[in-house]
Amino acid sequence: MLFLINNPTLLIVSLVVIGFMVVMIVKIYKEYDLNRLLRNKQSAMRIATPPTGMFKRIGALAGAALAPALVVVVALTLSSATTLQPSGQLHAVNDGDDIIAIYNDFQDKMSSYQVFTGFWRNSVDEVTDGAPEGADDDYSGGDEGSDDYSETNTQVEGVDEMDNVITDGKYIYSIQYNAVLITLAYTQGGGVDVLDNYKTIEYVDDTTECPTGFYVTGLYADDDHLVVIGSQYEYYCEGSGGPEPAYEEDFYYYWYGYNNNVQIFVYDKNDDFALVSEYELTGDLIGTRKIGDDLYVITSEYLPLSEDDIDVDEYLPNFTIQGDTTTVDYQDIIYVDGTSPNSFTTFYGIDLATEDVDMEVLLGDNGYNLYVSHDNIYLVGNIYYFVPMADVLDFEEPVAETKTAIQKVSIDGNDVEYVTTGTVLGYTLNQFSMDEHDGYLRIATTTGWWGDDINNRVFILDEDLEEVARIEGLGKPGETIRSVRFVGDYGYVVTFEQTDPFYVINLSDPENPFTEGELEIPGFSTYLQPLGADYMLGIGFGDSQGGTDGLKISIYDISDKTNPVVFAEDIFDYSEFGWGWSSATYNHKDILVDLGKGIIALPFQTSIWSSTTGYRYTSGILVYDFNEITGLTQEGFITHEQAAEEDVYVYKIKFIDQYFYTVSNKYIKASLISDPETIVNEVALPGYEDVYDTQID
Amino acid sequence: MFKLKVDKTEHKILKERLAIVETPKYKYVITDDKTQVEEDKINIVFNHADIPKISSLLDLIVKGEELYITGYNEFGQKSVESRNFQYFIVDGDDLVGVLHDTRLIIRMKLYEVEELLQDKDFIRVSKYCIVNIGKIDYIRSALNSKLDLLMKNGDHCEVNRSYLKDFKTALML
Repeated sequence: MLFLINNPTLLIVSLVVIGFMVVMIVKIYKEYDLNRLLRNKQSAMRIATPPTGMFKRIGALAGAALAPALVVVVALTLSSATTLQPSGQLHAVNDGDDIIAIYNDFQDKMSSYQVFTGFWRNSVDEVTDGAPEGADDDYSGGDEGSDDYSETNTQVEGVDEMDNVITDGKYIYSIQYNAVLITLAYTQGGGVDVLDNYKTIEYVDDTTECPTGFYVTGLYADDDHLVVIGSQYEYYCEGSGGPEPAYEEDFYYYWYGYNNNVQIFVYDKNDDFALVSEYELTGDLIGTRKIGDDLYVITSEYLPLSEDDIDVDEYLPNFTIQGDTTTVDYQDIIYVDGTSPNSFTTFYGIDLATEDVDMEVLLGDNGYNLYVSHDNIYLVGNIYYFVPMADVLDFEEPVAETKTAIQKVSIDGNDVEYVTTGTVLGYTLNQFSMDEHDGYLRIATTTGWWGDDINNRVFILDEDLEEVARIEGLGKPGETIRSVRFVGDYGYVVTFEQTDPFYVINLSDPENPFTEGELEIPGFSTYLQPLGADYMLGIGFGDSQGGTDGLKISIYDISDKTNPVVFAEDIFDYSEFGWGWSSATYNHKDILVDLGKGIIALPFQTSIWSSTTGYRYTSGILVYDFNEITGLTQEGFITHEQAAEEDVYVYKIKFIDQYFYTVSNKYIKASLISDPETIVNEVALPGYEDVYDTQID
Repeated sequence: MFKLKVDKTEHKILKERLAIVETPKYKYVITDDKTQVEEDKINIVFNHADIPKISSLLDLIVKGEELYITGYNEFGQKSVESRNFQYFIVDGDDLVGVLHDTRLIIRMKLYEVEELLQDKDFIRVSKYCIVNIGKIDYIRSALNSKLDLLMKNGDHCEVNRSYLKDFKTALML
C-alpha cells in the first residue's frame, strides 16, 4: 500500500481501473440476471428458446472488465523487466547525441517510477595545473635495505592496495601535510641507527611558491618505483593570481574547489626519487590496485545529462601522460542496457614500466566497493529501482529491494576489458564481501536495514555473473552482516544485533553451499583475517559484560569447520567516562599480521577520565604475540609521547628485519620486535612549517 | 403456473415432454394420480398416452385464445396472430407492427393495442413501443442504466428508464 501512497499517479490509475471493473462486474451481473429471467419467462410461455450467445457476451464483458488491469500488469511487467536490472545487452555509442538519447530513453522508462541511485555525485570544476617539485637533498643514501619487511595488509596476496604508510625494507614512505615523507629506516650496514628523514616530496608551484593543491591520497612502492596517487584541487594563496580571499585579511591559504581528476606521480627509486612519469586521469577516484608493474585505477565522473545545454564531449574520460592527452572514442564507450546512464566509470590499466595506458569506459552506474583478483576487477554499487505495484502484484522477486550491480572487468597486464554486468539482491559491506575462487565470484549481501525484513545471503556467481547458488537467511532475525572473509573453499560471515553468530560456510561445491558450523559469542567482529588454515583473527567490539563497549580481539579456532570455537581473546573495556577506538576495526591496512614472526599489531587509542587529571588521551600500537600453544599474548603497547601537550596519534606499525617502526603524526620510532616498548631510535618528522617553510611567514 | 405431481422417477421426463415450467404460484396441477388433486387449483388428470393432447391443452392455457391484429402494407391488408409481432412502434403518425421480415401499419392507437394485448405477454418499454417478450433474443444492460433489447429479427428496442421497473416485473414468473 505504501507503494501506492508514494505514487499518486499510479494510485489514481489503480482507482480508475478498479472503479471500471466494479461497474463492469455490476453490469455483467445485471445482464446475466435479466437474461436468466427472460429465459425462464419464455420457457413458461412455452416458447422454445434456443441457446443464445449469453455466455459469449458475458465472456466478452468480463474480458473488457479485466483488460485495463491486464494492460497495467503487462505494461509493468514489460517495463520492469527492462529496468529491473541491467539486461547485459551492450548498447552502441557513436557520439554525444547517442549518450543523451540513451539518457532520455532511460528517463522515459523510469518516468513512472521513483528512482534512487545511491552514488556520490560531485560537481565538475576547472582544475589548475601545478608542477610537482622534488626536494633537493644532498643525502647520499645508504646501503641496501632488508628483504624482511612488512608489506601492506592486503585482501588478495599479490594484489597491492594503496596505503598512507609503506615500507620497502629500507625507506618508510608516509604522507604528511600533502607532502610525501621519505624516511630512511634501515640498512643492512647501519641497521636501525640510520633512522632519519631522507627526503620530502612536496607539491609546490615553482613561480608562486604556493602549494599546487595536489592532495595525496595514497602510496605504492616496489623495487623500482614510488607511486604517489592523489587529486588536484584548486588552491589559492597570496600571489597565486587567483581571486583574493573575500574575508579575513590574514587568511591567505585555503582549499577550494572539487577534485575531478586523479594525478599519479611515479618516482624512480634507483635515481634518487627523480620524477619519471606523471599521469593525469579524469574522474573522481574510486579505487586503485597494483599488480607488479601494472597499476589499475578506477574513476567515476558524474554526467549532468539533465542540463539542457550539456556538451558530452567535455565530460569524456581522458588521460594525460607527460602532457599528451588521449580521450576515449565514443565507439569505445560501453553502455549496458538497463543501467542508469548517470556517469562515466573508467577503468585505467597503467604499465608503470612502459607508460602504456589502457582504458575501458562504462556509461552507467558506478560503484563504491572494489574487489580485484589477479584476473578481474569487480566494482559493485547499489541500484535502487523502486518499482510501484511490485508488492501489490507480488512479483516473485520483489523489485523494491536494494540490488547490488557488479561490473566485471578482466585484467591481463595493463589491458582492461569489460566482461559483463551482474546483479544480486542486497548491498555489500566492503571489499571483503567479495572473493573470486576457481572462476566463481562469491558475494555476501544484506537486504533491508532493520527488523524482520533483513536477509543476509551469500551468492555464488559463475564467470558470466549468473547465479549458481545462494545461501539465504544467515543470522538471526534483525541481524546484519558485520564482517565477511572468504578463504579458499570456505566463507566466514559474522552477523550481529545482540550476539555474534560466526558462520562457517562450506563453498567447496559451488552449486551446493551450506552452513557447516556456527559459533555464538557476545560482541561482534568487523574484520576477519585468516591466520593460516586453522585460525581466524576477528577484530571488533565487545566488552567483559557481554556488551559492545570495548575493543575485542578474538582468535577463532576453525580447524574443525563444524565446530568453530574461540581460541583466544583480549578485551579492552572502555572506562566509565572514556572511550577506546581502533582504526583496525574498519581499516585492514592498519593491522600488521606476520605469522612467521607471530605478530599481530594494531593501533589503539583511549581517552580516560579521572577527577584529578580530567581526560587523558593515549594513542599507541597494541602488539601481540600469537602462536598455537600460548594463544594471544600482549607483548606491549607502543606509545610515542606520554601526557603530551598535544595529541600524538600513532597510526601505523611496520617491521623491517628485527625492528618495529611505529608511525605517528610527529615521529617514526623504532623498537625491537622482541621488546616493543623500548624505543631504540626515533626521528621527528618534519612539521608543517618544515614542509612549507617558504610559504609561512 | 404449473405443478406437476407424478411419480418421482417420471417427473423429469414428463416435465420435458410437456415443456412446462413449474412455479410456486401455480394455478394448474397436472397429475397422473387422482389422489394428488388439489381442491383450490385446476387439476388435470391424465394418462401417459394422452401427453400430446395435454401438451396442446397446456398451450391453450398458457397462450390463451388466439388474437388477430389487422394491419396493411404495400401488398394489401393482413390479419396476423398477435404472438407473431416482434414489437409495435409509433413511427411518425403511424403505428407500425413489426413482424420478423415485414412491417404492417396498424390503424389503432398504441394504447389501444396495449389494452388489447394486456394478457398476451407484451410489455410497454417506452412511450412509443410495446415489445413481445417472447420475441426478445437478448437483453443488454447499457451504461446509461437503460436496457437494450435485441429482438429475434435483429432489431433493437430500448427500455426507457421509467418503464424499467415494469419491464423487470413482467419478466418475473
